Amino acid sequence: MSGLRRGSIPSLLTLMGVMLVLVAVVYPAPKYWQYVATVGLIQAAIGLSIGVVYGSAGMLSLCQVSLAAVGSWTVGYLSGQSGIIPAPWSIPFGALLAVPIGLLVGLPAMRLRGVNLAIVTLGFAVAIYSVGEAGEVPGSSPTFFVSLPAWLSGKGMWFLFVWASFLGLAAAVIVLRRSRWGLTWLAIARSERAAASMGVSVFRTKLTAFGVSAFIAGWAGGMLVATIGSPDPGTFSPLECLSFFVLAVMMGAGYWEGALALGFFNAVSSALLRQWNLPPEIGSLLFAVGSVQVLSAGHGGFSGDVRRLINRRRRRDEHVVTLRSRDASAPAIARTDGPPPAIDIGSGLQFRDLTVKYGAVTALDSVTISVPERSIVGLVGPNGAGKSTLVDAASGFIPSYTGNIMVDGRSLDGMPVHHRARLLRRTFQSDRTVGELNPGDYLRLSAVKAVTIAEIGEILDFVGCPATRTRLDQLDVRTRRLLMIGSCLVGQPKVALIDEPAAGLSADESEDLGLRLLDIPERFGAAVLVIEHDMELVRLVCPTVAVLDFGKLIAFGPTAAVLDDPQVQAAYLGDELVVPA
Amino acid sequence: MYEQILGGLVAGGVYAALAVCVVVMYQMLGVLSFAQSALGALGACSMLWFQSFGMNPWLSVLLGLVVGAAIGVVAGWIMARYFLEASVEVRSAATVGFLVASVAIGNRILNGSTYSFPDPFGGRTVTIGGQGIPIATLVEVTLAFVLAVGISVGLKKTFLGAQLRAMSERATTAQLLGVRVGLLTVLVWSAGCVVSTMALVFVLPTSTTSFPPLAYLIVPATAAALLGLLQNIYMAALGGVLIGIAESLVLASRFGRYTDAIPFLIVVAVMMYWRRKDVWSEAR
Amino acid sequence: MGSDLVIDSITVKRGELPVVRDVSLTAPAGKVTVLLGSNGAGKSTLLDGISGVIPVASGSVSLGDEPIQTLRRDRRAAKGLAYVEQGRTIFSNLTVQENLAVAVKRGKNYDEAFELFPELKPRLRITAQMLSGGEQQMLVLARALVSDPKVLLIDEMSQGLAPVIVKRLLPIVQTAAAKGIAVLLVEQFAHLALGIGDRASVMSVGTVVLEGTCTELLGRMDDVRRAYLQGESAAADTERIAQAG
Repeated sequence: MSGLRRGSIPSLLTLMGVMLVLVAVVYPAPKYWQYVATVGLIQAAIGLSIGVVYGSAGMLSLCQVSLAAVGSWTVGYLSGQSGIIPAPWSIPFGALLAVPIGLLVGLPAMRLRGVNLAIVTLGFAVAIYSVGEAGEVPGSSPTFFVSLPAWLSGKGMWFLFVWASFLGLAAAVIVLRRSRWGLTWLAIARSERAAASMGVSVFRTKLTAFGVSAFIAGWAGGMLVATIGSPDPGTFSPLECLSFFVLAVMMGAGYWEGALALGFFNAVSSALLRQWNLPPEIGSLLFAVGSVQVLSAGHGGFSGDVRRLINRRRRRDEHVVTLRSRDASAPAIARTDGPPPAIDIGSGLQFRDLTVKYGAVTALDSVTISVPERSIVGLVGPNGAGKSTLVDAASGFIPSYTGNIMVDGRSLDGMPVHHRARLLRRTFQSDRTVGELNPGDYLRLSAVKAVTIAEIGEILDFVGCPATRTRLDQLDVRTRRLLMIGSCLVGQPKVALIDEPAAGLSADESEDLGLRLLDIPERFGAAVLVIEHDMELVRLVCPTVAVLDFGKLIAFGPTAAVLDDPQVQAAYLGDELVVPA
Repeated sequence: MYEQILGGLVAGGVYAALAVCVVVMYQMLGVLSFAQSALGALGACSMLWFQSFGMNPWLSVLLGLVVGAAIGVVAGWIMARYFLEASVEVRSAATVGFLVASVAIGNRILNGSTYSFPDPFGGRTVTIGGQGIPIATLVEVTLAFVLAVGISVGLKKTFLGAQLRAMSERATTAQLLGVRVGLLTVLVWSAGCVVSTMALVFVLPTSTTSFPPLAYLIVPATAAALLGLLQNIYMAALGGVLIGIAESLVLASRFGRYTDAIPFLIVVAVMMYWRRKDVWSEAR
Repeated sequence: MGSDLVIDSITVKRGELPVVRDVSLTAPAGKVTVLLGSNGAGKSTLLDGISGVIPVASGSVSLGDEPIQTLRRDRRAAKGLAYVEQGRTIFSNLTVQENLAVAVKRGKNYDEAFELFPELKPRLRITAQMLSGGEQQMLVLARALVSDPKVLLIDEMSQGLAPVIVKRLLPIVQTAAAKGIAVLLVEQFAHLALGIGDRASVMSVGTVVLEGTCTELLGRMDDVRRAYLQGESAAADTERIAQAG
């Protein structure tokens, strides 16, 4: 899963182009402007760091600037205070030391999310700031000087070093974003549950995001102290952390060009303020007004807007993706009467006496359902009957239940969600695909292990979606729904749980979906449990059906018989509901 | 040690009041206001300014609260006008803008001037358990809890409270039913700023005359709010007092220079312990 | 007493994309007007535009003679527009009574609502979250009705509900119309809606492609089906049936 992907190359080339223009302009410029550009690039690097942890992985970590402080102190100690390792060789050490600290900050992120995480990381930023102010930690007191070696002190040489560093870090981020790490970052940003159900280890993904982000921030901090000469605690104040974060959001620092824009904007604006002899408060007020303005307008920040404009132009050339119809030559045998279900089976999916209680409410009461391998079973029942709870229990989102859930005779108890994904996959009622990815990348993500182009093509063919570079969030709902089902199958699971796939689809779309579902057991060797309200679809696809009502299983047997049962009708169906054929 | 605990009550009361503000604004308006202590500090600074003209202290407090309310109206108007549809993260990021602006303005006001603010209770103390407790401290801590109770009851029992709770859950649907969401937003911001101005007024006599530390009071306040899971007002108030006391104890110890790290340490320890089994409940 | 809802050539965009294009429609007071169409046809977007959830890019929306497309959402509610959104948007942390209280207009009481939904009366103090799906849909409808509306927009009431419940709720829509309210009912399931409606329009890819009385359309289900599937080319030729009223 490593190595350059075709998709990275355009971005890398653009990055190279912009950076070449930059060096051509700045290298011959006077020392002051080189200094401004140097600081700007360092700030851009910090922006990259925020871009990884928030822009890509969606975690509100407000303390990346503080992680830069760790890099600063390391370099300050190694090159300034003790002189063991001269700059710039101490800079990688600073970056490496920031990593375990960044991982430590990442640990709260395993349980805290959103603004809760923001508060904790802000607290961390304040803690680091107080450590810096105290000046007791090695390398943090401003009483020494970090000097550059002779070969870096010449005209423009330090600028070139910083320039090369940013180029390297940005290129690494571009490649990482397209690699498996990057795909998992985007996946957890969209939905942790969906990611885990696809086999992604949320724990590991968060750690890689924090780790990479800390490394970049540490490198930037090391460069900063080498530029300024000695650490200045004020650069890492909580206010700076917050402002920087907001700037990163405004500029869309998840993309390299957003990070560069951030650095550019910061550098130029503070230089101008100095040139015009304006008090720093003016700069603050302008930032305040500007940030409110930009935040109220957009989503994805400045570079998100730019990318959207570029994508729009590209989209006009591509035709709207339509579903290909199912291969008409393959006959569909809609079996509406299967054999009576066996209670205890050694293969497929088995729920035995499953009971789930939330406090006083019993969501599921001793439910026993079996889905034999390579078969399709339907699950119906009114809202609140417990269908989604059943699927959640199978996926592993319910911490405590009694009873047994088994796949191929093996109990799933105690298996974490992302391990269950090897055996059992599920879809969600709401759209939880990862919008930034194209269908191929999305399926690659879901496959967990290496998967061939042919296997991806097989799924795309099954789903009826052509191989396209268009992002998922620009495709229609029906295609995304089918791709979500397809992502279940690419992992070759033993069991697929499909949750209300026909919701919101027209009768024809439902029938098309149903015919595709019928193919799954033969084509992919999986057992399928389909949860639905659409009775036409259930009759078409499921020879056997189970009915839940108030958490209890009230019927389980051949579909026609069950749906004609007066008890089921009274509880759920009323008289026969005519849906347009 | 008793002295330190009492000393911690001063800061603790402020943190408690601010934490209650933060929780209420988060629940009602879907915004984590990073600027809350800074905005309150601006109101409190205006009070110092009025004082410097020789105005009666109580009158200047009253006018300071009025200024605080006005600041809240402005902030609330911006939020209602431009951020009604925005996500929690974007709204909260916008409050950073308010924070930066407040610090800039506050620095200007406080810079270089020597304000002194007399204790409105004249430094009088009450003796409890052999120790003298300043009346101001007692009033402050009591007010914080009275506030918590009042808000809690008000939200559950009044029609306005029902409207606010409806708005906090589904702002668009509430609007479609005729609830005047913009007006309520301004109202809550204004009330929040009045409360934070009041809280900062209590802190002024004992603090340094430099603005940024006043703005940073938001950090222990949000930590306390997080101890209430951003939902429970009472836990937030209690958390504020506890953080204040803990800080005071650490300040007197060998690690005094690292007092500012206390909110982080407390909140991480508590949250990680509470949440240790809770893998999926908050995950989307 | 209700007012007619008149929509004149409105275009509604989601972001840059016009999802509803140049749609004109009248939902007369006292009648149930049905809006059909497949997923993505623009039905919900049309309702969002009428109610103010999304600003209308061009065209006008009027209650009786009064244009409302520039008004804020709560102003439109005050003028008598009620919108039952898709997905049972109850206030889950409020009790049934509080849910109704937030919506009720001055002078209106809950008697009418309890007449139509007797299940709600004993559940007044229960938190809305605890209600079943069907009860929640009843609450949402009751909430809309106590706001004394002149126009009632309903978006896919049947979704996710047991058929037996849907059969219970549909006649209530008729009752609302009988009180003089102009009802615009959006549904996926054509048969259900056509069974209780007066007139119907079928939308496809953002425009109205078929119109007529419900009785007529019930007899022309093939045309309705085709209209569901029509692509962009067919949007050019809209078909209007001479209606008998």
